[in-house]
Amino acid sequence: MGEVPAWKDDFPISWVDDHYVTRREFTKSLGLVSCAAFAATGTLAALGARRGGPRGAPARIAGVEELPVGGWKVFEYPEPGDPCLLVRLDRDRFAAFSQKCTHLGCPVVFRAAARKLYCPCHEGYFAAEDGRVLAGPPPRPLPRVNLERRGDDLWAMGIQS
Amino acid sequence: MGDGNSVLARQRLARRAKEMAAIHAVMACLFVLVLVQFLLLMVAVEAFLGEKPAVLLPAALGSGLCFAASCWLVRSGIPARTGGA
Repeated sequence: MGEVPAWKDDFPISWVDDHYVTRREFTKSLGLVSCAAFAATGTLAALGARRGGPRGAPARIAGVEELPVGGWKVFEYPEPGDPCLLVRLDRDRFAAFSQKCTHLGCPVVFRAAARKLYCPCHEGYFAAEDGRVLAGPPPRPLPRVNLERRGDDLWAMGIQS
Repeated sequence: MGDGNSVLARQRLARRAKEMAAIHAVMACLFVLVLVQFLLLMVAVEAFLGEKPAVLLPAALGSGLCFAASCWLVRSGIPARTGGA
């Protein structure tokens, strides 16, 4: 019962000693954690600096006469699979936004009568003019697509938050 | 002779107590600095995901200052290891 097993002679490791961490080691570990935190924050800052400005190449998204006043159209920009919403506010006023709600990513829809973009998942409302949050849980405005009219066509010129 | 030894022992103990106090103070400062860095990292992640680049650079600079202070504390705050204990 009290005998030392044979394998302990082959592997003479003291677990207590092996897991013992001195203050010096702990302090050095804290220094390493500090280095890692700085590296992570610096990396985010570098990535954020590179990402500044509108994203996406110019692309034709619709014809002017495709949409009636109060109408809306879903298109994909800047990449396929990134849904955006084009709305016609007046005869000569268009606006386009990312269709993903900034709360949890549900698709927003246009309510022409209220001139608002509405997220049905959690009752979020955005202004159709500029995408700002009017009500509900969304924390940020909708990313806006810059539009340019070229003749009878509407072109997306980049998307920005 | 015996009195001299006990005086020396007391002096050694007092010096060791001072060193331990210094090491504990360094550890506490480092801990606070690392906590501040984690807070800055959380702010940076939130700003990155929320696309608010104006917050990122100050967060990185603050984290860098904390890291520099940590390095200084680790290098100069801990007495060099001596041969015995």
